[in-house]
Amino acid sequence: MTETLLALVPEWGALLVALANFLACMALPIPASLFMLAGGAFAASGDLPLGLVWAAALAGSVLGDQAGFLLGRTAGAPVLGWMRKRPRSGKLLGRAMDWLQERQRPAVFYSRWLVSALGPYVNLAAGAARLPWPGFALASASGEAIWVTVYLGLGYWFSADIQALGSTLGNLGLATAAGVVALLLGRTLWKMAQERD
Amino acid sequence: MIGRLWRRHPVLTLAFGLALLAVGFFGARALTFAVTLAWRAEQPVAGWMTPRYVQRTYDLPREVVAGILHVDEEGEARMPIDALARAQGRPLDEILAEIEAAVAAQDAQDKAQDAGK
Repeated sequence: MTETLLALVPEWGALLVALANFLACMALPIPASLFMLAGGAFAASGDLPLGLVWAAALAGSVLGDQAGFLLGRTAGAPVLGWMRKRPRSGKLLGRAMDWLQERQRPAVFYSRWLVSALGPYVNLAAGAARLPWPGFALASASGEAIWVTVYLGLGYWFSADIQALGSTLGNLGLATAAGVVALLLGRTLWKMAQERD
Repeated sequence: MIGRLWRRHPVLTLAFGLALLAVGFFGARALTFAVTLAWRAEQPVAGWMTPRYVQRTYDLPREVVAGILHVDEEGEARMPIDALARAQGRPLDEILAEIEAAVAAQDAQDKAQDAGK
């Protein structure tokens, strides 16, 4: 499976990397990070132009963030309305929204690269919570620039080992995301337990 | 405390437990891959690699790679080996074996040179 995907990269190059990033930002299960490592590796071997792949990757992910934000803004309202009507999830939703409002830019910025597995959901939530667009766009673009540079750079420097590197980073990313989710849920549970007493 | 949380917020508590499990599961997998990455030898030659990638990764002279894959400088350089094999009607395994043999020969030659110094 991985090998079939990797074989697509030298032929489709920047276009594939851009499209993969765009779709991955909207929570579709596309292995964008593997494509970026491969993009970096094939740039190192001289098959692909590094600058073009970098620009395409950045454009794809920034546009994907915008699409996710827009989707959250348009389709988010009915979902949120439904959740608000239920007493328990309504309360929880209120907390989540307050949390996001307080930390708009850091939440968006760090979910681009450090906790990137959560990025697509932050896009939808940011749109649904109607965060101000300029702040979102700025945090999104700067975070994505880091993510794209780091992944293409890793692929470039460790081009001989992208498969093993991709598996390591992919699992590390999921573990980090699960850790952040566990931390947030644990804090919420802790607060709820204390409020009741 | 856990029992009380479980009764009051079963979904949240379950999600919290699953998230903790996921940290352990993916963390262990990441560690396994990282250890493999550090310990194992070169990755084997595979069909997704391009002629230039093979040349750079296994430090083979261009003429050797070009000879095995029947490619010229520009035309088919961006095609992966499996696509080249299909286009030329040759079995992929055979090509990969030929490259592996060339890599082994190159390594042996490098070693002999080092020993001769």
